[in-house]
Order: sequence, then C-alpha cells, then structure tokens
Amino acid sequence: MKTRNLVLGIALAAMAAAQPLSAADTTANLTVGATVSATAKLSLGAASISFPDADPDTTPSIPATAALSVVAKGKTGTGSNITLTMLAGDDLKSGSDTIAITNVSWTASGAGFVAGTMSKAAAQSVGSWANSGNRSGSMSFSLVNNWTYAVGSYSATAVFTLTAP
Amino acid sequence: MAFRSAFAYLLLSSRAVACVAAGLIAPTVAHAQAGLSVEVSPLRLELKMAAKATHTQVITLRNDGKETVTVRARVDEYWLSGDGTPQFKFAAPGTPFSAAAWIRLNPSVLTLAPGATASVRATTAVPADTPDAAYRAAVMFEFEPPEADPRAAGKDMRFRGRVAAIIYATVGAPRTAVDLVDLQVRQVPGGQPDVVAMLTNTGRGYTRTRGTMVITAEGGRKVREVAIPSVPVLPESTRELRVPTASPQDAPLEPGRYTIELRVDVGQAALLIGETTLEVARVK
Repeated sequence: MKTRNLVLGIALAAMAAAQPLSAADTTANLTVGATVSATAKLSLGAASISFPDADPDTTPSIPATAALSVVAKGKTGTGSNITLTMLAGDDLKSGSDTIAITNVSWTASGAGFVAGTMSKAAAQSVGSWANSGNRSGSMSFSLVNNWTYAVGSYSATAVFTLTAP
Repeated sequence: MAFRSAFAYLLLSSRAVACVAAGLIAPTVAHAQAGLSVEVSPLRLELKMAAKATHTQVITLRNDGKETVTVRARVDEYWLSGDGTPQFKFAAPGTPFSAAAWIRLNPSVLTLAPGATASVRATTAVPADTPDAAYRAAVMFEFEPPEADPRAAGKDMRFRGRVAAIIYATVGAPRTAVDLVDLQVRQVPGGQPDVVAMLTNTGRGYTRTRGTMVITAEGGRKVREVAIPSVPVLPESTRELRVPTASPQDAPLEPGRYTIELRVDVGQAALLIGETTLEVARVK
C-alpha cells in the first residue's frame, strides 16, 4: 500500500474542517425547522427455528426445519449505513447440559446479507446497507451434530439489533 | 447538508446553555418480528456539550403492527469491533468514553396499542470536570419476545429484536488524529472485491468518514468513482473502512489490472490518501 498526505489549499482545508461536529457553534437556542423523512423497516419471518434430532454419522450438520426470512427496508441520508447484527444470549442449554452456540452457523442469500457463525461474545454482522433501499434475504441455520450431545430439550435466544451507527 | 435535516427531532432543555446539538442523522427504523412492527425515531444523535450541560431528546416510537407491544428501554455501552460491527453491552462503570451513566430515560417501559405513538425522553447530563473527549452510549429499545411455540422441543433457537439509538456526546473540543495505516483488497465469495482501509484514531475526538474511491484501468482510464460510506471513527480506536468496488447495480469489473485510489476526508487539514492495485482474473 502506498499512502500519502495531501495538504490542500486554504479553501479546501476549510471545507474539510467543516465536519458535522464543528458545524454548529455554541448557541443557546437552535431553530428546528427541517423534516426527517428517513425510514427503515426490519421484518423477521419467524420467532423461532428448530433443529430436529438426527444421526451424527449420517447428518453431521443438521439444517433447521425452516429458513428465516429477513426484510430490511431503509431510507437514509446518502452514504449512511443501516446495520443489522445478531448476538446469542448464551449457549444452547438443557438444564445443566450445554451445546456451544458456536456450533450454530448460517448461510445467507440476498444482497448485503452475509454468512456467519453465532457467538455469545460479540455481535455478528448479518448485513449492512448504505443509502436507501429494500433488501430481503434468507438465513439458513445449521447445527453441527455430535454424539456427545446429551439428550434433552435445548434452547437459546438470539437478538437481532438494528441500528444506524 | 444531511446533518441539518435532523434537527426536526431535537429539543433543547432550558439549562442547555452550553449544549449544542451539532448534528442528528435520524433514519427512522421500524422493527418487525412475527407480526410486530415498531418504528423508532431518531436513531442517531450527535451532541456537542460542555461539562455540566444538559440535553433532552425526545425519541418517538410508533406501533405499526396489529398487536399491542411492550417496549423496554435502557442505556447500554456501545462500541465498534475492528471490522466496524456495532457492539452493545450492559452499562458498566469505568468504561472508557462511555456516556451511559449520564443518560436517564423516562419512561423506561411503555405499552403501545396498534397505531399508537409514544415518546421516551432521553436526558443527557454531563458531569462537572468531564475531560474533553467524544463519549457515546446506546438507547436500546427491546420488544417483548414473541410467543414461542409451546410444543417446541429438541434444539431450538428463538429470536428477539431490538432497535438501538446511538448518542454521541462530544465534550469540549477534543482532537481527532486519524491515520490510514493499511489498505488492501479483500475478495468476497461470489461477489466483487472490497477495498478495506484500516483507520486508526489516536485522538480523543470522534469523526465520520466521507470521500471517494477512484478505480482506474491500465492506461489511465477512469472506470468508476465510488462514494465512501459515512462511518464513525471512535476515539482511541482502530477500525476497518470497507468500500465495495461495485454496487449491486454496477457491472462487474472487466478482467485486467486496476489502480485504486482512496481519498478519505475525516475533517483534518489533510485528506488521507491510499493507493493499491486490483487484479481481476479472467473467468475460465
């Protein structure tokens, strides 16, 4: 990589300095007059998915019984992003028995949607979109199958978070 | 200027003599899950404040769904992971650059009938003797979990949804010192490559990116100019800035060798400029 700094003339430097945070001075009262028209919508197609029991020898990876449809519609300022993440609250648990949540992963279809592996430590990106648009995708989850899993009814909760950082 | 359009949702308290709303980009977000749909506005608030200043922001929620919804609001820590993914956790004392302890919400629980609108007041009060820096927090709006299938058994994943409204509170006039420390091309499976710039901010200020990326073919022909997304660069942090070489509407780059020049404006006197090359192989 080659990098270099370009020192601009006074006029351009002044433009560069006109960043958002310096755009307003210390004024006691601001007149509020503009209208915000940006809009975004996230839709999740289901409240839960299930991984059926299967023989680990014949089904080393268990697909969920259904894919999760996700629709993200957004209107934002030019260049601004809307981001969707997912964070697991904990591992899959059945009483004291545990299946690490990192055994759950997903593939995704749809522009801007990305595949990933679930985590309880850090939110994982599901998608990020710049500018306005209507994005729909589908997430197909799978669980790594293993003979070591104790028999039980396991559950875990994952939280989708929509934001515009 | 996009920031100006956001003032519509801004309320200044009478005590906020030294508190200036410097900008508020407010994409409105509606969250929907299994028939539930709640709109939250605004999603981002940028404040310039002095120590001891107070600012109150009204955040509006509207239930666009057909069911009554319970919304629980709280303030979380907010930061970005290295790849720029927003991260949130329960507020904890001593978290660097955190404004979470300064923010009070009223009410913190509300019930919205279908079609109803309600407001949550988020009051930010900067303590005395707060050092100059850019602080931040997130107001989290969590929606009651959907009804789970009582017959579910085996191994189940249940999903919940929430919307995070980010508050940036810059106290005083902290310096930003952003540098472009790395630039590389990263292949995207099944897609066009991305250009990934690594930005490091050693200052205590916060800024956002803007600028352009120019893709030039051999011989000097400009092929494409791409706008750099507006992403936050937090104080004393390093993050990736990912710029796609093609939008979904763009045609793929033809096979060949390209020069890529990135010009990032972070509000400093000098633009950050990086250059790299991209090889697009011919598909066999």
